[in-house]
Amino acid sequence: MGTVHTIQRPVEILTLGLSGEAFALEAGIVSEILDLVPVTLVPNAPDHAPGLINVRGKVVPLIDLRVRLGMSIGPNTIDTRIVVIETVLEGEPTIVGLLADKVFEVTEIDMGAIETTPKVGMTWPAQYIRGIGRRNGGDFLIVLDIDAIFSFAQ
Amino acid sequence: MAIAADPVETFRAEARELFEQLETTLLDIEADPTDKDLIDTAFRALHTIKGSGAMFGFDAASAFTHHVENAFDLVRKGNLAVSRELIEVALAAKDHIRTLIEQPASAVPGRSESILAQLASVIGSPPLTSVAMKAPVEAPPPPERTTFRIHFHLAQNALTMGANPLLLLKELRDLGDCTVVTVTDGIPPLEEIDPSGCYAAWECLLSTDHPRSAIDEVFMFVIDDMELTVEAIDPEPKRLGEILVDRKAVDVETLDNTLDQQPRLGGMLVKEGAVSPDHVAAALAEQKHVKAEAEKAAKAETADIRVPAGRLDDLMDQVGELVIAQARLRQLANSGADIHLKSLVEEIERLSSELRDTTMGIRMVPIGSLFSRFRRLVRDLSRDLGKEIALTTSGEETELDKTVIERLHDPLVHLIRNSLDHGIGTPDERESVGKPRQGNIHLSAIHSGAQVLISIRDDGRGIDPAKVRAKAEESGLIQPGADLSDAELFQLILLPGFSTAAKVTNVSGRGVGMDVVKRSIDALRGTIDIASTLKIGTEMTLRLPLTLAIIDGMLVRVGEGRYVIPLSAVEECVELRAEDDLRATGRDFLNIRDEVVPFIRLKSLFNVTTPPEPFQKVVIVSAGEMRVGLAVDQIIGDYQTVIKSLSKVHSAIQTFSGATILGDGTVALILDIPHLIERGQACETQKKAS
Amino acid sequence: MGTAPTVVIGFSGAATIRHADEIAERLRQAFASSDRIEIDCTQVTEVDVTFLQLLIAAVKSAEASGKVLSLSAPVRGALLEAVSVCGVQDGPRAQFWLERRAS
Repeated sequence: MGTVHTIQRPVEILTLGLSGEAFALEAGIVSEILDLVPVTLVPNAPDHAPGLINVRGKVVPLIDLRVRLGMSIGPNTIDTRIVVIETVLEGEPTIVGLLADKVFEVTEIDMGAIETTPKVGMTWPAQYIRGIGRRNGGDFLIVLDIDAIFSFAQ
Repeated sequence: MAIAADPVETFRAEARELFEQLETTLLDIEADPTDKDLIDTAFRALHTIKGSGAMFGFDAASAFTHHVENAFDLVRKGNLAVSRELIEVALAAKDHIRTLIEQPASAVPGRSESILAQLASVIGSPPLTSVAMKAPVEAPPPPERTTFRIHFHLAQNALTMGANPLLLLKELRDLGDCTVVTVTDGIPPLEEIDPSGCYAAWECLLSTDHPRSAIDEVFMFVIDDMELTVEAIDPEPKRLGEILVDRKAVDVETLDNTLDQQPRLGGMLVKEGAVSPDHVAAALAEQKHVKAEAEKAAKAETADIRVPAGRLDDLMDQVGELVIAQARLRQLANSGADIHLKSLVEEIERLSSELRDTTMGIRMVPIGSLFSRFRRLVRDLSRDLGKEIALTTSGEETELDKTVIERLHDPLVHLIRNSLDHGIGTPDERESVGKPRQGNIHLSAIHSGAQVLISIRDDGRGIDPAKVRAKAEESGLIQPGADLSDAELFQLILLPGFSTAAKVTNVSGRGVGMDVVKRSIDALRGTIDIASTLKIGTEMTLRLPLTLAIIDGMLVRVGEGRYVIPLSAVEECVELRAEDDLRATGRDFLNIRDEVVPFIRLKSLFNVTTPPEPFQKVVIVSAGEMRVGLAVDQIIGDYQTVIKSLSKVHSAIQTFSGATILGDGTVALILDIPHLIERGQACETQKKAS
Repeated sequence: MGTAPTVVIGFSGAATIRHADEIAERLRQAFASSDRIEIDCTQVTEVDVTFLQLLIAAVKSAEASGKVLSLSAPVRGALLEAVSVCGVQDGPRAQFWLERRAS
């Protein structure tokens, strides 16, 4: 409905952990969360999209956000999960799996509380961050801009 | 039977087919104006459009069509000659009718009137009194279904002489589809009847493949004592009144007077005593019979069902899932010892394989439907350009997936236009270099292994490699003096950077749209080959994979990953001999029965770092005449697999054409054979050069 | 209910030209004796056109004289076959053959 962001309704987000840091993701695009399943590596694939997984009979690319965000990559643990989301890639609706070291919870965040990110002083690429949000409990979370992450795909 | 909620949409969809058929027929008539069957076909198509159009509320279209139908009726009857102007007007009319039906809002005001004016002037030319028409059938009539109207009446003493009308009727029924009505008018009431006399008469409608003589033979033995009339009738469904007049049961005047009153013509006529009930019954029977015949004929031509494409996609998905599940079931059964289970699983595998083949077949459409759409394009465009160009085709029956055919339309149009615009010269130019005035574009399609090859060949000027080289250097695509074969030079034409120059020369004209064409073909996972000889002509060949959603694949292992090779591309498998393997990577080709085959080590291609394995195999795959060997660590076995496309995340990786889900639920990548072959050949060329 | 009882006549075996005279005579007698005539054809095993004609002639007479003519049962067996071949049952008097009431 255009760019009307004046609605102060709280937005549901999913918090996940990547390399020790906590990030937030708009919960509306999440379709399911899987335990780690066998990953088929794709030779010569882009670094952030190392492989493919089977999600209910669909072949879905696995995206490692840590690569996109320039973070260090640790090994998988029993907490590792795959967050399956629906996003748009080059104009086509696509299902994608996001690798996460840990998945915390679905919680609410005030849209109005999202402040735009300062361009300096950020450890990771500012273009992938929608902003900094504040949870009800008071802590700050980095809200990821999934569209931006995938518009730079390839 | 259309499965659509909206009858108007159904009509539009069916009308579309009629329009296409009409266009093809009109073009055919132009090529052969004496073929009476073609003219009948055109007339019938117009007739149907007119009638159905009116039924669905397209009054303007129907009224307009009526005039065109009349014109063709005149042609049918020999009162109007076929001329180029007539076809011209008819084609314009057809386009206009189509607009009136598909997008009435966009119809140009006044267009109807202007076309009809043209039509009138075409008709106005004095009708030829004798038009040389081919008889519809020349030599011995091939079995053609004819509908006969048969009337017979035996002599009163025929029964005592041994005649058996019931038997005669049975024999007539054996000849084909027969509708019989007994005319009982002549049977006297009980008090007066001679019990062994023959009073009844019979009216029959017989539609049969047999010739007229077969009917005569039925009555051979009684023919001396009876009335028999046999006439072939026009199998056009008619109104009851027309039929009654045709059967001479009623005269036209009585008919008109009665019609002026109310419906239920038959009842009225009987009431007035103008016709006996049995005769009306006979006429009604004829009407019903003829209508059934017409429906049968229509059905025989296209026993089709219209299905929404989405439903077919769903079906394909479901069959795909079934194939995957069946593969897993098989794995499970094979790992156990239950013989009954194993044999049952084999049965299911056979059934799902058949289902897969049938389902895939549903979406396959002959490419001829696409080719015929280009005839109009070639005709109109060559006329506009002042050139004489004929379009010929072969391989129209080659089938492709429906979605692929749709996506081929635009690229092919581009290529044909290029040939028309730039490839083929004007008649004068052609004559001056000793060529026939008329140029030729030939479209062909053929299956080749797991691919379809579609080629567009013209006998025009050809592409000048020198000019291409100059252009490419100018555009910065190649270094001056770079060593490239003609074939490689021609491939440069497909690059987006090629036609940057503003000047349009014979060659750079081909730059228009070529990169767009390449992108479309890439999207279909196909390739374009360009071959050309200066002054002789040019041939562009599109290679496309048959869109197989489900294929038979060979599962191989490279390092720890498993990959699928389409089985239809596999020629043979050989051992990778130690001596071949130990050679430096600069010598990657094998000697197979004295033939040199380049081979690719998938391990190095995939950057796999696992240690070398002892029993490597080479899978020799081919596309067309080119082959390459793929070195793998292990050949696992054959698998029926469902192709899933790769998302945009990975689709740019040319080595893989898709992915699939194996029996154990993991994903395996499917190798893109044409790409690998290109790669193998390229490596070979380079190696040879160095 | 009519004023006269219904006369039922039945035919059996072959109803062909050999017996046509006899069949005609029985039909006429039935007509003479009542205003309501019922014909039982269920036992007929063979039929030719003479039988059909006689039945039709009977229908015509019934119509002309206002009598009521009907069949005991809708046509079946050999009679049905003959009637189908002739297309009589599709005609204006179809009801007579298929139901049990004369038109």
